[in-house]
Amino acid sequence: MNIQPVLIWEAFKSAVSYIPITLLITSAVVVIGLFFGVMVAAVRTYRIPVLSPLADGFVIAFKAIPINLILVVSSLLFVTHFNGIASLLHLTVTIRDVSRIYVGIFALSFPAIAQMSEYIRGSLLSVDRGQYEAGYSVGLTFWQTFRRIVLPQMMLVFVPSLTGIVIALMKATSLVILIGVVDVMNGALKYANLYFSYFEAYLAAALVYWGLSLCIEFLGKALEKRIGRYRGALHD
Amino acid sequence: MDGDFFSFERLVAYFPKILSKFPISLYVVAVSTALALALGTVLAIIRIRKIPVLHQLAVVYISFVRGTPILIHLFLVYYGLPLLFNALFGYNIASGWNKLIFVFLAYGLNEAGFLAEHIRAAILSVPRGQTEAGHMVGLTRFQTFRRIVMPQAFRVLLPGLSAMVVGMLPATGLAYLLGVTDMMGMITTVSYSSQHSLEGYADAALIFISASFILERLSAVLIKKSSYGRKSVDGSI
Amino acid sequence: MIEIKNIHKAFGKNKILNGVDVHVDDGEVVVILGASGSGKTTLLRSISFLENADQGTLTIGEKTVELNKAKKLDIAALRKKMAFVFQNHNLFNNKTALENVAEGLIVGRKMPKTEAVEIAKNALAKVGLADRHDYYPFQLSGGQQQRVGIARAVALNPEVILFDEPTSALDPELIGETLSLIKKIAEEGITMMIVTHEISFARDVASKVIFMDGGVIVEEGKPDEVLVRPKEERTRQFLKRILKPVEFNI
Repeated sequence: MNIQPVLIWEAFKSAVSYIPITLLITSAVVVIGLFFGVMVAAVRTYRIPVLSPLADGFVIAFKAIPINLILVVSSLLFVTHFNGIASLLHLTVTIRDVSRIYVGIFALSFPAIAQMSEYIRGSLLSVDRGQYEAGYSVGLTFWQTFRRIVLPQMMLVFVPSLTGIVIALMKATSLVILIGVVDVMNGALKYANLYFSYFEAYLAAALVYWGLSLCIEFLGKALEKRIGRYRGALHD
Repeated sequence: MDGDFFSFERLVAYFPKILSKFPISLYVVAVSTALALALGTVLAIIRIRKIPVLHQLAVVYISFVRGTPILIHLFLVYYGLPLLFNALFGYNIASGWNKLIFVFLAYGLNEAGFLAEHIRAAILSVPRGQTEAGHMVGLTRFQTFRRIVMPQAFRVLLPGLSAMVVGMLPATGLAYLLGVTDMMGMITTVSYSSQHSLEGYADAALIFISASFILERLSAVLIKKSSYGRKSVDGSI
Repeated sequence: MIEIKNIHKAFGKNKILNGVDVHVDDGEVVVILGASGSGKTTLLRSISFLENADQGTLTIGEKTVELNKAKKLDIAALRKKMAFVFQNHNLFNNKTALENVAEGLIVGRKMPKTEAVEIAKNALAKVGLADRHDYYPFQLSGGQQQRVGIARAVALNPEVILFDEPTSALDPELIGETLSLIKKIAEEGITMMIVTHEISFARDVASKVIFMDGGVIVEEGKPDEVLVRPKEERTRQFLKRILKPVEFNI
């Protein structure tokens, strides 16, 4: 039982060809997470009645439940509903990979929103109350103060952590293998059954994910630089 | 749609059986965190001292662990460790070892990569004067680190560490993939005859949520307790 | 007796000490004055091995080492003969006042715990903090913290105590009490080297005053010679600058 480089290479090539799928799921989840995460964070930060306890509960729950559990349950629900609808319409379609990708995106969105909202809330709270008051004191409205004063400052805190969240979510997409989506992870494992080359396959998958993480980190750094421009004098 | 899709009876019936496997999750969290603290401290010291070669290796290790999914770490350890043992000592451990050992190692190695950076920052946050004072009252380098720097660094580390431990808990829900019968594994067992697993997942979710909640509270208390008098001023701690 | 010979120390290209010699007899209180950047703190830190000097020798009692070639054991042996009072006290933040004073005795000097605690209690009583044993540094005022720092040094019963600007991080109203405490301890005959900006204190307690500038000793002698009738122009300039606010008051 030795490690065979050629099998790593085969698995690597196969995994690389599925990068678009992993990136598709990741970016969909990031966008959904950002969009709803902002709402959840705003609801919690400004303590909007009725909604804020719900948002609190949502965040607590989806930070605590294992992502694989969410995925499996989503898939379970999807399967039952899909069959129900399909039989109602007298269709004979089976559940294919394409649709499972959507199940994956759906499931991963919940933890994404929870995590994202926590970081957004943290960066929102990092902006001192005095900044709002200063905005009002020169005659800006809440929205003007938020847009022009608070948002640029919170972005300085948020963007560095965004890199971390995107990487974490990208890594979490590897769990879609549990509901049968063929992504980088699954792609790497394609021939593992055939040659019993599991170690090689996982190693290849790891290399691909590592590369993707480093790319995201690089992009994050670039974004940070752009956003932190007006702070340049402080840093240099 | 099937009216028997979700039943409260099954939710109640499954609950004790699934709960009985909860200690496995705690066990995994505890052992792997202990492993991670040890390895993470070593990595942090290597990075702070900038020990040649080891320093570069530590940087690569940390980058790798942080950049790759825990799912892969589990299987790399599961399939890789036997290969390593075979190559080094020439015998096969794949069948003999308890599956939990692989789980401990995988989570421990993973956590260490994240903790190392936290520990490094925590150690560096202790002012240099503390070390100097230790040396000047006659403590050795190791004594100073062990008795003066570490306790103070730990206080700084605690919030990050406890957040990580709380975050670890749901991540342990992958252990069943290596054949460990944890809560997730138990769901398959209890729902085998009825073919209804949804209630089992709901039970597990409830347990995970409650456990995280309790852990979070506990760590908040712990953080408060380890303040070395920063909060209260009357001397009664 | 302490003998320091020809200390050199540079940080990169920046030469801080350019051959300094100091002789301190037993029981002597040597006060080192000088503007910031004159090298006086670096001198103290070099002889306590907190900085690695580039050159020079240090003798305390019978033991002599070359500062840049000192082995771990030499350093440990020499440090046993000295104690250090830091500018910002550097009390161990995770230990109570009593533990701060006892730590060096128990762990550093391997003294039995009961004996060490006894000595520590006496030291704290001496600095007027007998009722603050169980306080953590963060629960003490700046002046109290520095007094614990002094107790910690005294408890070690060293051959020399090195004070690095012991009052410059304190609020003005706390400086007086700290200086008079140092004076009280000096009167017990403990050898001291004190880096400070407090001229009147220097006149009061010093048996010898050293004025440093540009990494060398410009002038040294009895306090009245150096502080009242300085021979060197640089000393005069320094004293004029530092004494100015007092003149205004008069």
